[in-house]
Amino acid sequence: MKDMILGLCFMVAGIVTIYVARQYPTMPSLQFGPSLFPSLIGGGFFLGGLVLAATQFPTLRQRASEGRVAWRIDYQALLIALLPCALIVFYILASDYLGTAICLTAMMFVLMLVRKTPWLLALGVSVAASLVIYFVFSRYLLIPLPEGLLSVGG
Amino acid sequence: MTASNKKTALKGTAAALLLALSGAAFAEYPEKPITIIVPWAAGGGTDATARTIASALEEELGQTINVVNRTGGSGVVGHTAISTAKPDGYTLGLITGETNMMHWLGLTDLTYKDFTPIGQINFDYSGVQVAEDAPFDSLDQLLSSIKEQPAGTYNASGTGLGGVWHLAFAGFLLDQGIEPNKVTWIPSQGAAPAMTELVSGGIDIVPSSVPEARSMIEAGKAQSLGIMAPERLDSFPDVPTVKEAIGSDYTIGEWRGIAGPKGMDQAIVDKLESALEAAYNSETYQGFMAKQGFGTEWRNAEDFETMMGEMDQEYGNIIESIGLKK
Amino acid sequence: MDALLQGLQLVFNGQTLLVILAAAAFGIFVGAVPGLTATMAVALLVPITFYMDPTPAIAAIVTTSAMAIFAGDIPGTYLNIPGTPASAAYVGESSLLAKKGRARETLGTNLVCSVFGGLFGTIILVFVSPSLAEVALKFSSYEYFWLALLGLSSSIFISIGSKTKAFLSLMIGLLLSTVGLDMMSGAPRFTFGIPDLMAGINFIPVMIGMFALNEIMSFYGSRVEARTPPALSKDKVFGQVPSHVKRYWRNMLRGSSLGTLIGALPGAGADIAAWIAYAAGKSRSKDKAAYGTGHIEGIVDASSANNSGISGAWVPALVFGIPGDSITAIVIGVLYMKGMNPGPTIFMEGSGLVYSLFVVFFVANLIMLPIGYLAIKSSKVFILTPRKILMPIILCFCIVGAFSINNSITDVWIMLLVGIVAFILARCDFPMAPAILGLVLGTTLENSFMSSMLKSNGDLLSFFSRPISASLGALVILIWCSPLLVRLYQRYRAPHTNHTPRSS
Repeated sequence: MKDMILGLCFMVAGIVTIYVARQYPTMPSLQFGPSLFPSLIGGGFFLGGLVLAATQFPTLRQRASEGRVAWRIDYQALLIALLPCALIVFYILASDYLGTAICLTAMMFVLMLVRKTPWLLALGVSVAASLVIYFVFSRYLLIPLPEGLLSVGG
Repeated sequence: MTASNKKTALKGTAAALLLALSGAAFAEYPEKPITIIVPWAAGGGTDATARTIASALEEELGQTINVVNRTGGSGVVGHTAISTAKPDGYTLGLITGETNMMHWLGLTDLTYKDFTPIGQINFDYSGVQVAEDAPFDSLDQLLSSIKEQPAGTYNASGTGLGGVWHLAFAGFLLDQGIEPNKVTWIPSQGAAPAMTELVSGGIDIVPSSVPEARSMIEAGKAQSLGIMAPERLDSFPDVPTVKEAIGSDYTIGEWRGIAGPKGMDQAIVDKLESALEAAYNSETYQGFMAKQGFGTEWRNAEDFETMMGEMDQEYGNIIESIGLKK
Repeated sequence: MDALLQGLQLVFNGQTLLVILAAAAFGIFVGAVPGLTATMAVALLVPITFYMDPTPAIAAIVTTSAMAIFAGDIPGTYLNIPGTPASAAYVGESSLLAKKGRARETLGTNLVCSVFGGLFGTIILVFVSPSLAEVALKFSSYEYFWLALLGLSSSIFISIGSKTKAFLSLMIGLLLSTVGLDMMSGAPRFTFGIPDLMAGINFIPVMIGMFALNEIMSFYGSRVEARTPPALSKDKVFGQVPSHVKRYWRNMLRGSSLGTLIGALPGAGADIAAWIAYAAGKSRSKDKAAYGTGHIEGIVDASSANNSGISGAWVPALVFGIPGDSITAIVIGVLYMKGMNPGPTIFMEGSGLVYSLFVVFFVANLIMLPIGYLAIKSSKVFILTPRKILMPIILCFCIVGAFSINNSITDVWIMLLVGIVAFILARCDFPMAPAILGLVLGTTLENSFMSSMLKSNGDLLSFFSRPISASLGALVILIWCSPLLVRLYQRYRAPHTNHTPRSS
């Protein structure tokens, strides 16, 4: 079932890719140009997706006849799996204002609490780790990480 | 005190404060670390040049200088970052010859007028490299073969389409009265892969700078027929100039220089200019460039700007004549 | 000779040796913690090596990957969880041995085999690559096109599991490689008006997303954390090793040569080398029945193979710029950043950098012996490091590492999106290696095709006009037809013998 949906997704992606690629110019001396490879890849997506979806069809019918189409997802686990992603978005949006060090501390603290780390240990580790990361990258490797609220001191 | 009086007084105080602050800035510049933006990747020739001049400049100014790479879009990203920085003298950049090409190619609206030039520190002239077993031993023979054979017989490579060596070679052919499109340009990632192609027989000519072809020349797999420079290079004394080879005065190449965003304070520019000249003459910088075989050439802020203006016209003409102008 | 001396000088100085030691400790740690792979270790290391000189940077990568592959055996032995995928082939054997109280003996044998395999692969690398480079000097865009196609095809045919999924994974990588300004025409593709995308998609954020973020997400998506502390045995580490070596030296040689060869094939890395060597060892063994019950012989082959695979993968990477596995895919990018352009010319520069690279390989594999010994002695520390504390820290490294490549937040977005897609695909058993290979080789494939077409004015037959190019082309076509040929062969044999059809 999962493969079936993914197969369909790939087919759609293939069509979109070919559509976008058609707008690219061709080379002056050849009949093809920058549009050739994206079009081939789009075709590959479509065919691969088709095969993937089609091979799932027999098993799907068999299951349908047995009344077992519904498949269960552990939604709670999925939500927790998406938590790191949500925190990355938080970093992208807030780091300019809050600064890297504060953002990283907050992220690590939240993630550790989710996995039931004792809060004192979680706080200690996240503060220490974020400070180490921040200083190694911004002072030693000279990466211009946003300083944010802490910039007054630095 | 009336309200309007109060306002004027406030304004006056603010102005005085600002003046005092900016005055202090002149007196003490630089009072915090300076950042130099490099529009090309870490580890490349431009990056190494920037890091060396930065460490020499650091000694002159007594301040930390951080080199930051902002790569992407054929140099567009980094050059844009330099020109849009705050013109306070704390963000500078190493700008390269692409400044004179990108806007003609329609990649950006940015031109050399969007920068405050400080000084030019390097110039690498274009050469003409062919394989060791190529059927021509001199520039003269190569040019007459190109003239005689039909268009597309020979091909050349060394940069992307509209890159510095492409334009340099097209300009050279134009100067010799040859239609530039007679030689097919095969775009490449840079001079190094083009040299490999040259040796394997995939292409015929690589018009890159001679130091970029060094390893192949030293291994006896390639030869340089000439260099589009006013005089021979110290590191390659056997390579003739085009003037010696065919009597042409044509010179062209890639330059690099330090510049800031438009609208920098004249006092800061003056201070940086003299510090940069001292850094340019330092043993650190000269020794490094000699070791790498890169060409050194100094122009102060004023001459740098004039040179950019001339190059801009020249590249504009070449780009138009090969049909890449957007 | 001069270059060799220069190379030695580049390695034997305080800074480089310090980097090697630190990288060794880092590699052991990452390898020994289940869920952190050697590829992920290298991907997280790159932003830091970015600011080092070429020699220490390469040394860090070489040491970390070699150490991590060995250290993957530690949790495999004690917990029956492979520390890296490369240990998965023989994790059953080693954990059964541990249950018999022979854990340290097993790890000691593993260690010696790993060191042997690593050195064997290095010797091949040192002697084969310079002569191969002479041949490579004759390669033009036609040959590179076939070479890239060969690498991509073998990444599909060698992959384990559904070939359709491997193919789709490859297509994703190829699509990512087309983003940015097209080199041939200068036309922007799939940039959506974002200037940072003009230069194309940087592969480091992609790697971090694919290998690190994906792993973090699956950790939070699953609910297992509790681990029972293993019963640590007290037997001698090297006590039985000499007798094992004496008895199984043929297995060590066979495993190492197989490993080097498979490592050198594009798209197949240490993990596949270990599987194949394990199977080969079993089929050639005198006591097949003992396999699967905790038999030390099964460890010898595979454990030599995975470490020699690491070294073997560097051969095509250095000579052609075509990666042998996902680690060297990262390495190629690092080499470019350091101004050491992979390709035949790398052997022509007199700077001694290549020699320093060779020396680093020897040093890294030799110090594996003492450091590995210490690691075996202190196994408990690695196994009990709680992942609930480690994973948040790794997430922070992901963000800062992705950002630091170009100092641009766009790369963090790329890392995030790739991580989510990789998470979904990995849950549906899509292999990741083809995608990486597609991203790395996509530009080579397209640009060598387009420039060949420009040179020959669009004549497709020109791909067969040069002798080397024609034979490479024939090889690729043969690989494509191989499933068909295998089927024909089976149909031909079916009436004669009563063979069951191959299950793939």
